Amino acid sequence: MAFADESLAFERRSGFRAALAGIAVSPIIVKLAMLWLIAVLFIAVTARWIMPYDYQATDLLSRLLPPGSTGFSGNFHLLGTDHLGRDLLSRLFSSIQLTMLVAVFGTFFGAIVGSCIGFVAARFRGWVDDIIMVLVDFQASMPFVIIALSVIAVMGTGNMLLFVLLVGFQGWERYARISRGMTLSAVNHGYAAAVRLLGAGTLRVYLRHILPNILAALVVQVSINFPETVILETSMSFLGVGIQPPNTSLGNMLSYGRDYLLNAWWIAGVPGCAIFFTTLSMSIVGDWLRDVLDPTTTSNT
Amino acid sequence: MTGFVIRKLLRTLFTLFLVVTFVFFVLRLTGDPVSAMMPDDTDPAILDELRKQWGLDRPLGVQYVEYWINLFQGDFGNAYRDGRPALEIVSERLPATLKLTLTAFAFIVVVGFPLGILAAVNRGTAIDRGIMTISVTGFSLPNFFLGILLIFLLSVTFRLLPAFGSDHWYNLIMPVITLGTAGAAVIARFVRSSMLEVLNAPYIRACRARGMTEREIIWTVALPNAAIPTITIMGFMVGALIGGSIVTETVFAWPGIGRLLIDAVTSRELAVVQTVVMMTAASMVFANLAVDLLYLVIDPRRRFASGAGE
Repeated sequence: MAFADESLAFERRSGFRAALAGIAVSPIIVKLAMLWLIAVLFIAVTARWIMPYDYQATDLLSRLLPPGSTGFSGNFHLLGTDHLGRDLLSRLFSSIQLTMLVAVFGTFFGAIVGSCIGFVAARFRGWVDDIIMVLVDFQASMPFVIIALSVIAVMGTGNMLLFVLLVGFQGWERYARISRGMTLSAVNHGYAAAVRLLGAGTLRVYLRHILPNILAALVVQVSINFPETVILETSMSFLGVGIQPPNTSLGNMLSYGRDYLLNAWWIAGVPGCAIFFTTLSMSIVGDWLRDVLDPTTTSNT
Repeated sequence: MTGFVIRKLLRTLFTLFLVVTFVFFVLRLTGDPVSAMMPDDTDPAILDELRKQWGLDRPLGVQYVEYWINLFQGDFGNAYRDGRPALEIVSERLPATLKLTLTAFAFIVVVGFPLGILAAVNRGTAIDRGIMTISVTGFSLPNFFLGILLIFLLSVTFRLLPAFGSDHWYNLIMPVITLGTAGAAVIARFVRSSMLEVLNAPYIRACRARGMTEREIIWTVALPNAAIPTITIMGFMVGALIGGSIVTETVFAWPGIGRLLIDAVTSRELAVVQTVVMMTAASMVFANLAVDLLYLVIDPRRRFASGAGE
């Protein structure tokens, strides 16, 4: 019995190696999606250095210029300018940086907190487990955006840290459910009991032995959650209750553009396409990752 | 079976209790509603006076009990700006939101189901791949961008539909597509995989062995069985529609609850915010209850399984 579990654990862990090797043989669409995501990450990291102009610099004589035109002061605007004459390419880079920053920090914050809550539920069982599961059910029965909005109504807009944590918290209940469920079944397998008998402490059992075995499921969940976090952040910024000026997010860039659809489609089109290609790429890569990492799903879905 | 229903009802009530408690504590503990609503330079004496007037100087437990009593009397507090009851403000926006979300729900079913069935029946062909590509695209397209795209294409470029307004039936077209596309994409995907699972089941092979035609099998055996699990997804859709209507109503200046909520959040009309949150929670909780009960009606296996469990 214990041997069978050991080999199961081994197969799961080698899934990551298979994933790395699998990139080479992945379909072309997955490669394209990965390329886009790598480009987005590159822009997010290097935005301050590669943006051609200051993203806040206004040039009122060069307002609403279409992509590929030269402004009044001789600046070349590859993606055009907005209603204040600001260079859209620079704003796009800056927005990608902030959107990615919020999404990456938020997603990992939510994943870590959610998984830990699940571990706590599985470790203590009893009333602790009951309370956590009631909270999980409660969360699952409310659209997260409503909860986020009610917190922002009280705390006010403009608090960046609060906003990142709030956006990241989205989806915590799914991590909690997964880590709780899989931990409970792992504990029933022989290997957790075996290392405990060998004298391993709780923390060691959970981090060194159980976590690696359920990591694949958590990574799959991250791949589902990440695009949702991007969409949540951009929609809240679009609604004017997320990232506040002078900072720019892809969402509030798009909301400025809404007023200029008639004569300057590029102001909304540029950030809109950036969000769309990013979430689409994440879905494509996520689907592929799920097929590679998760042996329980068939290619039906 | 009655035990199951009673348990579900108790659970529903308990969730509602949690929602009210959550709203109460979020509003009381994360900040001071008085200083949140008043300008920063307000005289502290006036703030204290307001706190006393709204009963915020009393112990939290007393406030909590009073909060419940008020709710049971239909008192959700008054809007700060014009003093009107929050419930009244929200209620007059309700019809517009219901019109939008219910039509979008119908759109999701009418578009999602046939696409899912079509993909499953033609598994592995170009039709299947095409539908799944549309589904992934629809799911990844953020609704605010989709809405703006539609306005750009149908209103600005081709001048087919007005970008704003809510009086005519054709005003619904763009908001409904905006709100329903992601849901339809999810349903299509889900129906497809549910159908494929059923089509691989032994009882379908038995039907084939008995000489039923493929068409008969799909419509009379496979589809009803594949539709059962989609009911759960339908329950989730209610939440997604309410969340999505906030963005959709903002894009199209639709006079519903979603836009009201955003206005209330930016102007810190906490009474209106709490009313919307509670109404949303209540409709989601009852949607989940309806899903659970619907299962009992249409799936005999559930009925017997839960009956045996009592």
